[in-house]
Amino acid sequence: MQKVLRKRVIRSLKKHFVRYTMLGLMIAMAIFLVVTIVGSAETLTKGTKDLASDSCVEDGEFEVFVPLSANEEEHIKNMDIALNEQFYYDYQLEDEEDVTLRLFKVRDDINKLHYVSGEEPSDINEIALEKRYAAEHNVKVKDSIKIAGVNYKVTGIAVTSDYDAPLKSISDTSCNSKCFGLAFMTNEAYERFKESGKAQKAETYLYTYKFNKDIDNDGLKDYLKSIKIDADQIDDDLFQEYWDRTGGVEDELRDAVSELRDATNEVNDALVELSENNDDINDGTSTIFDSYLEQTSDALNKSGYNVTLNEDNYEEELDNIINTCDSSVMRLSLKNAKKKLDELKKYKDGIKEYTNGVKELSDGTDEMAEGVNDLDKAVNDTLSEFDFGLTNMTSFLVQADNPRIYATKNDKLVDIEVGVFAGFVLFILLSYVISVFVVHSIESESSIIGTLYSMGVTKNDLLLHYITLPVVVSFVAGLVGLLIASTGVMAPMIAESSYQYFSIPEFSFYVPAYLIVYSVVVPPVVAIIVNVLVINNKLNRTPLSLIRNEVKQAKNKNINLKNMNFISAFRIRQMFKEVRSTLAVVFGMFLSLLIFMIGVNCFILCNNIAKDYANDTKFEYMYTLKYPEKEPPKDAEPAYAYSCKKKTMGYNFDVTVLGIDDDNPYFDVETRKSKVDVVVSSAFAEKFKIKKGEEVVVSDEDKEVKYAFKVSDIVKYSSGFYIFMDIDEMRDMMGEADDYYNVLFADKEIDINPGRLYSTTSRADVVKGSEVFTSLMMPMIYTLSFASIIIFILVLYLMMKVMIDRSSQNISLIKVFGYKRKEVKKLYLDGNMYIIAAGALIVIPLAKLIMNELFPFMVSNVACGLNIKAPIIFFVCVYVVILGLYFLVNAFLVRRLDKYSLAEILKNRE
Amino acid sequence: MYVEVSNVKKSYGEGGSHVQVLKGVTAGVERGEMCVIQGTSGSGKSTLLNCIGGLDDVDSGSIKIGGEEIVGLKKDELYDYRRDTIGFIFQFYNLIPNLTVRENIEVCRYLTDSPLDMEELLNVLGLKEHENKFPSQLSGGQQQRTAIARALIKNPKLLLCDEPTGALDSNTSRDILILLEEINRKYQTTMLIVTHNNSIKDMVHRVIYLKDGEVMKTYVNDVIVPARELEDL
Repeated sequence: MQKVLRKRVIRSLKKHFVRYTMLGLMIAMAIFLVVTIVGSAETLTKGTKDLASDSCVEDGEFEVFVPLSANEEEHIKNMDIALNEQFYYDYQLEDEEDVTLRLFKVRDDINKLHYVSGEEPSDINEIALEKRYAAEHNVKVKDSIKIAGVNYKVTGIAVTSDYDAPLKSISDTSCNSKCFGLAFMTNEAYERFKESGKAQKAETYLYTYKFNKDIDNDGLKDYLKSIKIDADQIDDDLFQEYWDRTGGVEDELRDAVSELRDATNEVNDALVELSENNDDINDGTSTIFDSYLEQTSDALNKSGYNVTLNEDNYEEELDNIINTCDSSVMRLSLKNAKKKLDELKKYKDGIKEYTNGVKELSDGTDEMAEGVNDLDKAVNDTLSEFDFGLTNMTSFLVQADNPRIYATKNDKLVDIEVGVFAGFVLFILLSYVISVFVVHSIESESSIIGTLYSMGVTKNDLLLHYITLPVVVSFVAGLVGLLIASTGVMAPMIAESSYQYFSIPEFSFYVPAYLIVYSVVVPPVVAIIVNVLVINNKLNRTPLSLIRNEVKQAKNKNINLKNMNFISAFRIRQMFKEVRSTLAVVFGMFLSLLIFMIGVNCFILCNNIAKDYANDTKFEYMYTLKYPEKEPPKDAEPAYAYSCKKKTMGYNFDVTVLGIDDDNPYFDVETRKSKVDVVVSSAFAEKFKIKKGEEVVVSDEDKEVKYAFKVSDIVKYSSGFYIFMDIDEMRDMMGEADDYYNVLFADKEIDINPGRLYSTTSRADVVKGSEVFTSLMMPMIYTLSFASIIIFILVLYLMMKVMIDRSSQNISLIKVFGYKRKEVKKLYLDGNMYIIAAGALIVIPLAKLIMNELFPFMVSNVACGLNIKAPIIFFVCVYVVILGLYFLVNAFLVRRLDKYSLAEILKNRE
Repeated sequence: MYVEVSNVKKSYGEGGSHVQVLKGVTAGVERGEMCVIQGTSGSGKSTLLNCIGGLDDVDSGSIKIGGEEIVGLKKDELYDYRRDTIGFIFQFYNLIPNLTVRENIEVCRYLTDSPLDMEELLNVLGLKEHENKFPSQLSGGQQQRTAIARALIKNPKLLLCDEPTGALDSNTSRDILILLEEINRKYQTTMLIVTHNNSIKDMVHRVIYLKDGEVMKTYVNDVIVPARELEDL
């Protein structure tokens, strides 16, 4: 049976050759686009991975204040780690001040150079340049370049895996090869440059490492942290000045406490000594007082008064004698004696109080001395518990966190995910379109199928028969698409933007095995699934029902349109009749829009980034400081930035906690006087789906500490993932001094010693960086937009065509009655406009909404906010374009109405 | 003569497959007459009907309807001719399946500015109670009534019926013929009925007999038998 039916498959193909050719071409085109887009991305991914492998890309890198000693190097090597000095100088060209060349020695083992042209420099006056820099400056092999007064001959143009993205600083948002590049010179040339004294900045001691066996970044990092150095070893005045203000305070504290202890002891000793004379002083004054009493008593006895004066009675006795004495001379003499005795008694009591005070003070200082001694001991004990030694390591960056390495691969992840997803969507759509045709065939062959059933042919036989053609067409088309795409004919166009941005050699187009399987398996499998689902129900009728070609009257068709005008009623009936095709049109529109929205979201995102970065970046210059001065420059606004990490969707992103003053003119942020309540940037909130009032946790991976904040507000700031807090609170939280800062914002360029800087970011850099997103994405945006429009046109054309084909007899009939083309069009074609118009109203926002939900997953590796809000005018434009495309297709199909001959209706319908 | 067919020739195919279907047919029908075109299968009766209806062109000859030549009319003029003058009834009804009875009739009502009264027509044809049904919910006779109503709604001057009872049983056929008879009487509609049913010729005014593309004989019935009295339908 199948043999006979197979012959019919070929005849069906011949009969509907144009239809199946078009569908086949669409599938081939879809596969072609998927293989080209995904293949290009895979080519770049594999190419950069292979290159990284060939060039022994580092597992990580670290910087140190002073070069490691031989022993330290040996220790690291004993940890089964290959270590490589990759010291460099950043050199500003004499004649182009805004151009910095990073000067390296040629590499031997890790991050080896791959020469895209020329060869490695071998002479002291030879040099190799990084590819993108050379391209931007139009430098070729055999040209020369002047560095520090020496003319170097360019012997090679090279790329290196550790600068896949040639970023000057790892915090840079984009590469700018016009302003930054790499140069590689011989060891002799490097030493000559070093000794020339013409370097504007200190040499950077960068080491790269590669594990020979198991990766143990933490182990290496712990060891490097344990290497302490004496600050005096560092030959950098700016560092020394900074160190004196910051790292040197430990010694100051120890010294101050020690001095306090000594001084306290001295005071105590003196007071003890002083108190030891207290008795002598008291005895002396008592002796003087007692002697005077005795003298006065003797004088009174001689005058006939028998009294003995003592300390307690002298006042009373003398007053009695004075009052009873007749001699005025004696009275005067006694009054003087009493006055003298009063003074002596007062003096004696004063001395007593003084000596008592000295005694108390002596006892107090004794306690104080003990306390200060305890303080001294406690301070020393405490300081010795903390590690205040100066760690030699200044930075540690593992490969996974290095934005320069595998940058191309990471960038292309989006293309791969989008391409594969869009392909699936397309195949489902195309399979559905094919199934509509198959259903049309089944309906028109209803009586034949019924006859075959009655003769014993099974449903599975027929199911197999009817899906054979779609499956074969899908398979062949997929294969054709794959073969054409495999030639790489369009790949250079897709990959061009990457080659013009990343520093990579040009790779041969490569199609991974999964794409081959995808191309030849997915279209037929999707075709089988969709067609079986759709056809199965159609073949589920009884032979008699099929032979009679009974039309199932669906309930929803039985609506009363009696009061509606004829044309509207007719169109509604027609819509119900062609509900499958109508759904296919709307479904096709939806899926096309879904694909379109990927491109649109990419475009909107890039566009919004470019616009928002420009609007939100209020500063002209941002200086990240290595050694900030005590006082910030007058024209700059200080801030405190601290880099943390936060993970989402499998990617670990940098998040900057930024402490600012409330009156910082560059950020429209009202920070809270709190260490918990913070304000976050909109980019951060969008990327991590954070809402006001929620808690957010970021990690300090170096210190292995987590910080939890409560989001009290979200401010519009797209240029980076920021957590804003009050600078004083942040200083306090991080244990920094009250005047600490490490970032300066300014509205003009300020004069800062380059040695103090980690990096300088200008507003122009930020804006340019944002535009890079757009240029990298544009090929994909164009491809997706073009593909979706073509798909929509083809689906609309095919479905509208099948609708009128299915009504060919009726069209013929009404033409017999005298309906003219315009009227036939009104009945059979124009009604679709309402479907398209109404469908688009629902489908456009729906597709945008769905893609908005899916899009974050597609760009999960991209470090930016997700502002994909489209203006209303965008939706209006899409709507107008859809209607425009409808009218275009309609115009094509109008001519087809003339092709239905009047004789069609004269044939028997039985 | 209202319908004047003069020396009409029509052939199909080329070379070896060339078939001369009409070999110089000449015939005429008076206004308001019912006329049967009879003949064996392949005699050219349906082709002649199609040519008169402007559905098919002729190789040569002349066809005049109400004195107006339709041979050589342009496409648009033919549309106007069919729209203004002709009503068609087919053997297999050719109703539009997704339209109700009323909507099927409205397909032709839409084409004229002065249609017959829809309600009256529905009542006359016994379709009132079925007006909201779809063709699949009707019997063959009801479907043919609907097709007749559709043809009549625009009050055509010439009604062309191609085997109008060919798909119906005897009783239903009789009902349809009675209906056509009544319509002819009521609206004075000229009717050309193609049929192979030998009994129908007795109920019409004129008979044209075709054989192998030629008019073998044509005659006017002296006695017209009412449709209800026809036998062997």
